[in-house]
Amino acid sequence: MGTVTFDGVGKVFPDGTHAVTDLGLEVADGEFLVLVGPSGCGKTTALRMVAGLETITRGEIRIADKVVNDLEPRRRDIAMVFQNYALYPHMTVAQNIGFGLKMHGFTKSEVERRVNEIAAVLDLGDLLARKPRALSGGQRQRVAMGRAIVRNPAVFLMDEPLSNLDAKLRVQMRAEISRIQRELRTTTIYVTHDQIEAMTMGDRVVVMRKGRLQQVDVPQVLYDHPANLFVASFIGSPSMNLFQGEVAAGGMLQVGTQRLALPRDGVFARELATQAGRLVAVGVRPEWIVPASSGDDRPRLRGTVVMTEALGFEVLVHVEIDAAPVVTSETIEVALDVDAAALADLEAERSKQRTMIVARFPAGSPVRAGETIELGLDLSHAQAFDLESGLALGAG
Amino acid sequence: MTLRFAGRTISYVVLLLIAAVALAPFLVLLIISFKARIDVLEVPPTLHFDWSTISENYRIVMHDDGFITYIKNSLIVTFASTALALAIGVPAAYAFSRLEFRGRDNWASTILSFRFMPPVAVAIPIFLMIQYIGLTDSYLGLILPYIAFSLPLVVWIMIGFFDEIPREIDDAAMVDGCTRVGLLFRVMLPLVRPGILVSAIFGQIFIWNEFLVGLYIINSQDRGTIPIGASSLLTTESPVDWNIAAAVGILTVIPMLIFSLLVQRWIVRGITAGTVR
Ligand SMILES: Nc1ncnc2c1ncn2[C@@H]1O[C@H](COP(=O)(O)OP(=O)(O)OP(=O)(O)O)[C@@H](O)[C@H]1O
Ligand SMILES: [Mg+2]
Repeated sequence: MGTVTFDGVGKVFPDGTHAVTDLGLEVADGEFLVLVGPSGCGKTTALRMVAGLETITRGEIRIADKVVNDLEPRRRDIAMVFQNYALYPHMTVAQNIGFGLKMHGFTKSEVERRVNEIAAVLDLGDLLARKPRALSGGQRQRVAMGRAIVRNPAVFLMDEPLSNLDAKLRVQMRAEISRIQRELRTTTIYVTHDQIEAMTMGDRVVVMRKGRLQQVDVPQVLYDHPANLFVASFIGSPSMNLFQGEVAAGGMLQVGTQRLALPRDGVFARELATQAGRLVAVGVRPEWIVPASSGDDRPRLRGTVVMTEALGFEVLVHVEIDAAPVVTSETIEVALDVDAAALADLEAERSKQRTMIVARFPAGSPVRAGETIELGLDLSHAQAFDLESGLALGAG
Repeated sequence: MTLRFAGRTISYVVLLLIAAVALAPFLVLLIISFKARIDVLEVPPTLHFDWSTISENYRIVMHDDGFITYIKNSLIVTFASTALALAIGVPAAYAFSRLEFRGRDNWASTILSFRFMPPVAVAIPIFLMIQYIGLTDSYLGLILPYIAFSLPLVVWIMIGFFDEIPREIDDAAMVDGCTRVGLLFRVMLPLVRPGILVSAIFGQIFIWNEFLVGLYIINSQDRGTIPIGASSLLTTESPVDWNIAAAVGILTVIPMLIFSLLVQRWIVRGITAGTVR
């Protein structure tokens, strides 16, 4: 049994930083739970509190229903994989993997047997006599994994274990970790910065912001029904298009100078029905924006193509529309986490009162930068958010 | 090409000069220690290599003057002080490097500041304290102040070495089942071994040469360390036998010379490399 429970958990560092605030969360036995969020949102801190490497300021953490607040790490029956692997430099691969077993009083032959077993699983057999410094990044990563799984703990804790690998290895190890976790069915809390890892690996995903839980759900729900503007703009790549719209009379949505007919029914229409006369943030994922064709009755939006990115199987079309952008603390924070340029783009949009949106067009679509095009919007998949609170409309 | 040749020549000349300046007194000392008393003041000086004279000079120093006892005392005191200073200083440095406690940074710099004090400033109070606890003229009476003198150095060198080791290693060891103390011994010590060697060496050099404090605390011949013994040999006898005095000088220098040849590899490695990886 390896459930992990966060019950009103808070962490305040001595310097006054509130790293985690009132975190309540239930990790089921055997679940693969991913913590994701921008830099500094408290993911590592939350994980280290489970490990016992950081004291818990408020609340309670339970592992297998036992309160562990005051338990030393070695008594918590957990194993951890660190971002920089933290292999013992003076020990061989075999000693690194076997160290935890040795500390827990296993006999020499038993340690050896289990180390060899794990080495076979992780394809480390030929490297057992090497020191960490003689290993490649990927090999070190596997040793760190081996060190965790060899002890067969109740819970795995992983803090951005793949962030130091190159893109190709990362994809490979992602699959490998998922496979191992599925086989062992060991409860896993996995911290990452990378939302693709979060979406592909997690049974459920927790999105955190400034030490607070924003939403926890299975990846698809997070993607389809983000609880607020923060989750909406953080999850998804390319991210959800957000622009301002005014709910006008007669089931219309005023977007800049253009007027879109709202779908007659569906969640989106119902959400907006309550907002007559108000400005809301409208969110449409890139895949629900397609080239307008004469045959359909989708609402249309005109804009100027700024740039196209051909990805082989599809074309990402960046289009500038004359709608006010959604610039709130949430979207600013997400842009800031991407890079300085993303933030500058957002500022530019605000000053011009025009918004860049991205559409996924089929490969070979004949669009060119500079031309004006008509986009067809599938608003039945759109989301609306309150501009003040950032919350999804109709969510609560 | 010629420029490089010139540069090389110059550097060799400079190195030779440095060597000459450093070695000349030592060579003169060596030569004098080989002579019979009557030949020492001979003008112009000549070289003597008469094995019976040499062995007689050194026999007098070693046995009649009890130099062998001084060597033994120095070895005991130096070894014990260094070992104890390490036993206290290494865990202390680990604590300074890793643990959060009130006034940590202040304490660390206070400890270093002890090092700025010249022994002469504290020789008298130390002597009085040692006398008060009745340890004058004993090994322990020397070892205690010597631990105090070498501790700051040990602590400071070791803090540097511990700081270079990522904290994740500590975390990993604790998750793997170690206590703080357990991980200090099982994981940290092997990693900071170069640092331990370096601080041990610096401590030893200081203790081996320490004279002033020792002079206060030790009164009897059979507890004196080499610097104390040597100075008494040089100052109490008159007129001074220069050949014997030179032999004393050589015997004082030689152990350190051997020692530094043995450890210089470690000193250089410890200072430059700093740490593992
Ligand atoms: N020892 C500490 N003392 C004070 N503040 C700290 C300490 N450790 C972390 N913090 C702060 O707590 C907050 C959360 O940090 P944490 O390391 O948990 O973030 P994170 O989500 O893991 O970020 P990243 O993705 O960059 O690893 C940050 O604001 C950080 O500056
Ligand atoms: Mg982190």
